[in-house]
Amino acid sequence: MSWPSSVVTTGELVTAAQLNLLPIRLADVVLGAAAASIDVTSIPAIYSHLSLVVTTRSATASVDSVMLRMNGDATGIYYYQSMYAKGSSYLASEGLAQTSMQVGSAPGTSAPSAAYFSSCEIWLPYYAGATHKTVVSAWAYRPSAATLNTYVGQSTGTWASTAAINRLTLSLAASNLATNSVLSLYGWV
Amino acid sequence: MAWPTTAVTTGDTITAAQLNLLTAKVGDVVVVDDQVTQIDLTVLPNYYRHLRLIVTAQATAGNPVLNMTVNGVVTASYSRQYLAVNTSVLAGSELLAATSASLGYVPGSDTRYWSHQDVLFPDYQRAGVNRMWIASAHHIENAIGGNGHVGMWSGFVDDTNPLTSVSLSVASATFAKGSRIEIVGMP
Repeated sequence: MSWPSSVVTTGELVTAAQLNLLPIRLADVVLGAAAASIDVTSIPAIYSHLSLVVTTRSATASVDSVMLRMNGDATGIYYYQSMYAKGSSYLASEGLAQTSMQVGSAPGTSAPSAAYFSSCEIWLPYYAGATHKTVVSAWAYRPSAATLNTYVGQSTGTWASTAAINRLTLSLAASNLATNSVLSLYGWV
Repeated sequence: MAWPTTAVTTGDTITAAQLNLLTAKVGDVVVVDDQVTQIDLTVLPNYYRHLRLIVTAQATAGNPVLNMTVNGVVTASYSRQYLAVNTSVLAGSELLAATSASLGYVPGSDTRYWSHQDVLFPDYQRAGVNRMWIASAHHIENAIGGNGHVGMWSGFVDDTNPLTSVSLSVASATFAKGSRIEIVGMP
């Protein structure tokens, strides 16, 4: 037995195979100025799963949808379903044959200050496999301090392609991402 | 090309910069007696991009709410929203201008049962951005029907300071021995 089945002990040689089992950050982008998208290219295919942690805000819209596109594919083969709550209401929405996938929503210019951002965590299991790709996201945002403006939700989606994911593009549906929007990408073996 | 763009191969030299790309557990707090009213995490590292708390908790009585404050802020500046299910009942709830934010519930009526909360603080060091978190919360209160809970919880506080501390408490009770909070840094 050896790490990670047992703990590492002093003096042990850690091998390349063992290091390759570790979750690791592949990309980290912080926008220094508003931009149309955050584009991560040349994603290696050596991991089993990918995850993203994203914080976003719209530079120009009051509220906008956070969208994810794979491999630069703008054809209508994205399908998604969301459920979310605000106040005591719980709601749902669906997108069919879209050109990108909604993974959350972002506050924007109608928020009380520029300090209002959204948060989102996204998982892409078996992103390099030969089946259609599944995406799961959990998200939250607050576009206003008023009642019925604090949201939490979860979304799932499919990119109906058998291609390995090698590029991820995060954008908003109709506006630019604001300064300090963040995307971090992790690889999980 | 080098790790993590390619796999590590035997003979590669691993640099500090590469090791700093790894997700790591950076703290682990375990309650050692039943009298702890509040758990304070005051030495949060400041060199990760995101921070995660993994909470496993039990209360000494009831089925109390797990409350959280950050950075010592106790003014009425927290808001939270949940979407949760209990048996077959789905419910949403919002709380605004609160002095803390809840993260679900903690079982306390049966010592065999524990909660699980997974709390993500994205970009937790960013100045000028309100601190926020998104959590999943789960627990079974006891073996009696109607006492299972699972849900998503979001929280926001009007505080733009980098996250330096987190305090957790259970309403009208104390944490049971063995309650645990792990802190995970995500670069």
